[in-house]
Amino acid sequence: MKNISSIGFSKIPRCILALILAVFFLKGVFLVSAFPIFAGQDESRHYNSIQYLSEPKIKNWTIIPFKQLSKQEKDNIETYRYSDEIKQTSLATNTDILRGEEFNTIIFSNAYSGANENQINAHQWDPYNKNQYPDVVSGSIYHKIGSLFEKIFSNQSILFRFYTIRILSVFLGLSVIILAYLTAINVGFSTKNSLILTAIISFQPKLTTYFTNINYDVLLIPLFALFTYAGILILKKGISWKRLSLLFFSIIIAISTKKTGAILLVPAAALIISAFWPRFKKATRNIQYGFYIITSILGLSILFFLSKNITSNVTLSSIGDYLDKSLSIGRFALSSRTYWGSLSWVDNPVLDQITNIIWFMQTLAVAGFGIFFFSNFPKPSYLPEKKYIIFLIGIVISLQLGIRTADWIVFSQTGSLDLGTPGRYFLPNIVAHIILVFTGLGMFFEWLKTSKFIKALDSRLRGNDIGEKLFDFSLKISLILMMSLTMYIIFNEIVFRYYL
Amino acid sequence: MKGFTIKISNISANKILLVIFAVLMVTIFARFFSLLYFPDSSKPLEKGDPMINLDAKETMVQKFVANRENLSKIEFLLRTPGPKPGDKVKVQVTDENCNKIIRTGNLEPSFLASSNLYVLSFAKISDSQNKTYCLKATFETQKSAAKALPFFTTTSSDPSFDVINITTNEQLTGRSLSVRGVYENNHWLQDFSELNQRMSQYKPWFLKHYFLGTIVTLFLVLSISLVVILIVL
Repeated sequence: MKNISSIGFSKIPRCILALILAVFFLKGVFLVSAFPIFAGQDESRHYNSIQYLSEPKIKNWTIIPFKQLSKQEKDNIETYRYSDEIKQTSLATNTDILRGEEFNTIIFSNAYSGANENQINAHQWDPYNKNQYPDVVSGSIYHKIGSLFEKIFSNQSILFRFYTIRILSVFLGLSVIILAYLTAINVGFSTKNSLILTAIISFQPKLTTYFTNINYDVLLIPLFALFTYAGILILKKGISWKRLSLLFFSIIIAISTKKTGAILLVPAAALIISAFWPRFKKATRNIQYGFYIITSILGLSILFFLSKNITSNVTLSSIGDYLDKSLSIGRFALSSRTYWGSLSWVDNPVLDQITNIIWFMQTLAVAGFGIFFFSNFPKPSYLPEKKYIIFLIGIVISLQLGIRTADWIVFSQTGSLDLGTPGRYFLPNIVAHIILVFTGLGMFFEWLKTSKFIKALDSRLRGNDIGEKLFDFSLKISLILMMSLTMYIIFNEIVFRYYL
Repeated sequence: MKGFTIKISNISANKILLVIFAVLMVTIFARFFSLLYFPDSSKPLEKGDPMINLDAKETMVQKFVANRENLSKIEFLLRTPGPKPGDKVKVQVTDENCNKIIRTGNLEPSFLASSNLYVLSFAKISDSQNKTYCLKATFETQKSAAKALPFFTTTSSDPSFDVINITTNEQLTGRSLSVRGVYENNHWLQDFSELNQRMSQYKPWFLKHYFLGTIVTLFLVLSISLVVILIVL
């Protein structure tokens, strides 16, 4: 007898996906509003980069030489090398009070408009950088896109422009959610499980808050998701010009967004070689030469990128020192906490244990992978095939190695962990990560059902597939917990911190 | 019989999940409701110097003006590490002359993860607007060699608002304690209205007032609906 719920479910996946997207969008817009201006990660710098790109080419105002500037303090926006408009707006919105101590908020008025809001909306400050060497991020396509919006709405106040660009980030987040669903479906999860996985990803707290900020990572993460999807399609349906174009498009734009994008060259090379290999052996000489050329281009691109970014100051002998300092439980824990969006703004012992619970689940998932790859245990039909898992693991490892290599390069030059490995650097792999965790858990549950206790329970359920039921339960409970965690962080941390 | 057993197990699992979800949502939003108090934002707390040290069994007094009705808490700023386990700072809210006790309680660490912020909570004083109160803080400890508790201060332009250690007769001229009143509203709808007001400030028109209220309402309704749908289907 067919499961009635699965028949009904198969007719409405698009509606549910639309609901997931609507929730993500509304959540994002609410958080866009909840975070005060310039409160996001490096936001003042990224917004200044956008304003800098929007400035007229001919700068007919006085630029103050760097030597004549008073002491520059990055944490004090009013004194720093940002545009006049950013500096004056930060003063008017009490950004200094807000950022000064965690127990202070801005000074609220008794109305729906702030005390200085009319002054801000009068649009009297120049959105120009008047200091030499403004603090900007250069060369990123993200800021060029942002500057389009800045120019389109140039007649609006900074509040309108700033928050509109933040909402652009939310739209970019929607693309991650759509790509997550498409990836899950194409690796072989059922429609229902794909939707639950997508919903879990959409409620990931750090992803949720990050896609409300002005930061170039909000373009990088969708490009990684696009790369992942394109790679899965190549593995599933084979090489085609369309899928290769998608793959290379994601790599080129990712590199144009942030150097981290270059990491994708490595799994791309491995993917293309593995996809072409069966054909290669049977191919004509011309096609073989074409393959050599493509591989050479990829290899040269990787070498070129490495040579541009590894200077002569970097020494291999510093690897030992670097590993000694960076591979500590404290640093892993910090990286993990920040990846999952733990803000540590409130005193809650339960929240402090969240990452421990997640690591426990991930440990079970790793055990599941051990069973998946190194035993003859049959893979259940509701989990993805090995080739997809290998590809996803490859992307995860590439990003880990890439970030840590960049961290080591900076360490080698400065002697300290100036770059670090904050959790947000690993967010581009969120889709691969979540799919991998649940695949591993699924395999673990399949193995678990061979245990005596579970066999006894299974027999009482008269042949119901307990392995799949446990997997189904784990997806749903994870969705509940992820959604609850995000709600807690939004209302009892973010809203509390900034407004109560 | 097989299909019936499958259906029973499906329903049981989903029911358990729905109950867990409901409990978590109620817990989270009950906590949020309990946080709906409004500190006086016009008085940012500052870690000013010099600090005033309160030794064991000493008492200090500080005049304080509430600027709105329904005074419910007072926040104090102490230097770390603050009162040790077993020690407490007993605070009395008295009339302006430091005589009649109106409210009393102990300082507790704030819910905010700040090692400096401590809170005195009490039943709201409804008619507190523009009234001057006297705060009497006493450091109570069982340890004979307990270290003094340093309280941060801020500039005081009125000598009658200087902080005074009445045990040692030490008056910190031109300084008062870094304290701040926290207020509540009479009804939760007023709480939401005030929160909406605060969140609407320095935002563009499409993120203010009714727009903001609509966004958050839709977000809550749809996200809860989404999770319920994914559980039962």
